[in-house]
Amino acid sequence: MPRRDAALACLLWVAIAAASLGAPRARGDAAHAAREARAAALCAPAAHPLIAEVFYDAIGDDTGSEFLEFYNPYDGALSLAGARIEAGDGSGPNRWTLRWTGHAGDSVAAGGRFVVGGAKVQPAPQSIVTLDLQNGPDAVRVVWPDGAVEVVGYGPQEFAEYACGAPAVDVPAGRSLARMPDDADLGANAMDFRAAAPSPGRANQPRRDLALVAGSLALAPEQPDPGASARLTGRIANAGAGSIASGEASLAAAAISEAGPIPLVTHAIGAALAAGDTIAFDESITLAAGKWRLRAAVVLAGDEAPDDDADSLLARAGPGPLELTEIQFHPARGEGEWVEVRNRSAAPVDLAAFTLSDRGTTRGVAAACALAPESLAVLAEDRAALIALFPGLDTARVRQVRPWPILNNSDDSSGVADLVVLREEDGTPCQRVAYSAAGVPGGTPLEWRDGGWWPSVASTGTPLAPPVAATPLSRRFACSPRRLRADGTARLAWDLPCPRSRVSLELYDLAGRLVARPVPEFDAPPRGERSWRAAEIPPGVYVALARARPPSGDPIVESSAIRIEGRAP
Amino acid sequence: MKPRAPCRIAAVLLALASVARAQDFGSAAPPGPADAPCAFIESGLPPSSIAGAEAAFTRWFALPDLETRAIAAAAGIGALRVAAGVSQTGEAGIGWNAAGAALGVVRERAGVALRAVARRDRTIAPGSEAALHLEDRAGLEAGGGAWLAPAENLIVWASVPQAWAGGTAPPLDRPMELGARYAIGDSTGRGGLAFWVARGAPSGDAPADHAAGAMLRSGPLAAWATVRDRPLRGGFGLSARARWLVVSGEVESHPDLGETVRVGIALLGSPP
Repeated sequence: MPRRDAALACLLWVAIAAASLGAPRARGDAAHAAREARAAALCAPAAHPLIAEVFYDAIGDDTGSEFLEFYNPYDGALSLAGARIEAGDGSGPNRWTLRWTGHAGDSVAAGGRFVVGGAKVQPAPQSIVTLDLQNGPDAVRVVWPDGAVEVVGYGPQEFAEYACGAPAVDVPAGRSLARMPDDADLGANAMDFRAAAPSPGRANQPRRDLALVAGSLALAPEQPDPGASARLTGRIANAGAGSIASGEASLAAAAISEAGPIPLVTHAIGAALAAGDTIAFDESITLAAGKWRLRAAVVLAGDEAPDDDADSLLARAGPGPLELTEIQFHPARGEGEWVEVRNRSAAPVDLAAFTLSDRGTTRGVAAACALAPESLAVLAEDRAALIALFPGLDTARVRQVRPWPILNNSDDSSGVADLVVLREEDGTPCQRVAYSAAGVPGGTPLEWRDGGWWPSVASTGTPLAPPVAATPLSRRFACSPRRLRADGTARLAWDLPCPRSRVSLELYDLAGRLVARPVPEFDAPPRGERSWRAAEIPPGVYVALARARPPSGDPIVESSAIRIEGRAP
Repeated sequence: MKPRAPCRIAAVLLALASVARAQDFGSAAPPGPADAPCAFIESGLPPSSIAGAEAAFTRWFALPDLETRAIAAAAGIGALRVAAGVSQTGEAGIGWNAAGAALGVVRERAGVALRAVARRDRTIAPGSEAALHLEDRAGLEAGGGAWLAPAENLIVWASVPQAWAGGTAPPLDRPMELGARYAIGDSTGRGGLAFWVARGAPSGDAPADHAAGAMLRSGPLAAWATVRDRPLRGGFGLSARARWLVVSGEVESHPDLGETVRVGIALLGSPP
């Protein structure tokens, strides 16, 4: 026999031998063949369906929502008869509990999927059962009748039996643990599985899937002025296995209100996206006054996973129905933190329909209170203590907020101490105030007046009352008293013709030498006052030089004589 | 003493010390020994003139509520010099009244004196709390000064106006001042040019003060200019004399506080 004929005969013999063993043939591509060849060393046993997806932590109650999906990557159908799904408790060794056993008629078609899950899973699973899987770090495994086992562990594991190789990530609530691609088998759960949107009965990674990355949609500023330009940003990802050509997909965005949608953006995506690629978009939009739902969506012909094509966020242009008027972030008399709000709408509002938050994640809710139009209310960390300090308050309009978002007392590197954010209960922004604690006397709240946030003229603030107006002056500055004791406290008041300026106070002796800067330069409203202490300043007669530097124009300077009493050293 | 020795002494003194400023009896005159009675009381540097009287006015830094009015008289018998005066500074709420006196001895090339000033707040109601605790509303300071002419055209001086203080603190802390003046003039003393430097000792944590100036004299007229530091500023003054009558004025400009103006009118017993 010639050598070439002998080789062909050998190949034919091997093929016939393989067929005679009854093993289903892999679906054809080289990867499958390679996986089969490496099966002994990897996580998914050969000739069995794979665990393709595990959903073990639904948002809220898991009961009825959990599922496990099998995927058959082979050309022939595979039986599930006798296969057992067991839940593993990673807190101790050998803690496996049977959750489901495959019946005689259960099988997975070639290239098909078989979902075992609760009654709430949509579409309905092929086999309905309450899996009651542990939330991580734990595991699930399938034990086949031939003794083969596939383990999928999630979260850090103390015992090796609860994972194959490195365990997969412990996904957050609402996300499932999905094999990506659907037939991946790289030798470790961590490499084969990642967090994904639940997709029971469907491919984890479709061939064509353009997605708007969940949670990436943002509006800056969060609450723009009506008609002012704002930036709508987000990210688009090619979540499919194939690439997408430039111009093949498009982006559309709209502002939706009760009156209907208003198109904002529609254009083709002018970039090619390989599998796994992500691009950002940044669109300039304008919104009319009011509350809007901004929806952005990507459109791709033949998209196999339309669920991830769109994202939306709640936005507002212009002021909301409730506004902040006073912020006490550093109480000094045990009254607790508090903020004052005003109903600026024409109708009563329920304070319980709003949340109060800081820069963190805490969102406090006030006790219910119908607040009349133009009325003030106080949201308090400690209602009883506040009422005790201000016994004349209308207690019906002082509401406890739980949990209280603790407000910071000192600035960060950007010059902002914290944010005070009011939102409607559905998350629609109502007002956001970034405040600075620099130069605010201890215990004195910030209040909104003269077009800015300024320290209250009243040292303890004015809860449930409008700001105390600074006393009009006959001069630009006034220092009082003009004679004070060595450790006494004096007051610098100002009445300036500019909306904002930098004010300071310096003391010079009669020889013209600068002796002290009792009030370092600070941002000041048109009217106000600030106290300062004469401690550390030697007794004598001084010229007090008050200076205001407006953003533009010449400084305003006035001086007066003061005397600090004291005995000769 | 070798001819250059006085210059060395003056240099050492200037390096060691630092420029006391006027408060109750400020006079429109260059620093150092002067014939004006107010300047004698203020610095403790005795004049060479035998007798005189002076009225002085100061408006501090263009503040109308901070003005000083002073009158003083001086007399001399032989080498003995004595002066006394009263002044009032500031409006009622912050101001004070002062009475001062100086007593000294003058020789041809040297002079030494003691000076003292007592102050009392302008408004102390009889029987009030302030009147019962007068030590909180009244004070006394005492010090002295001396000058020396080690060479014909050179004068050095030292003034310690507040060597001791009691009661309420003085309006202005005035540390020791050292200075030197060098004159280039004709032999009659009726004309010429003079230069001076002065240094005021550090006060508290503050650094020393420095001043320098020049004066041009021509017959009955004199004009001078000064510069000072902390902050850098300048001033100028004029004086005119007709027999015993001397009228003088001085303006010093501060970059932040404005101008301080001093004017004086004096009757002096001995022409220069």
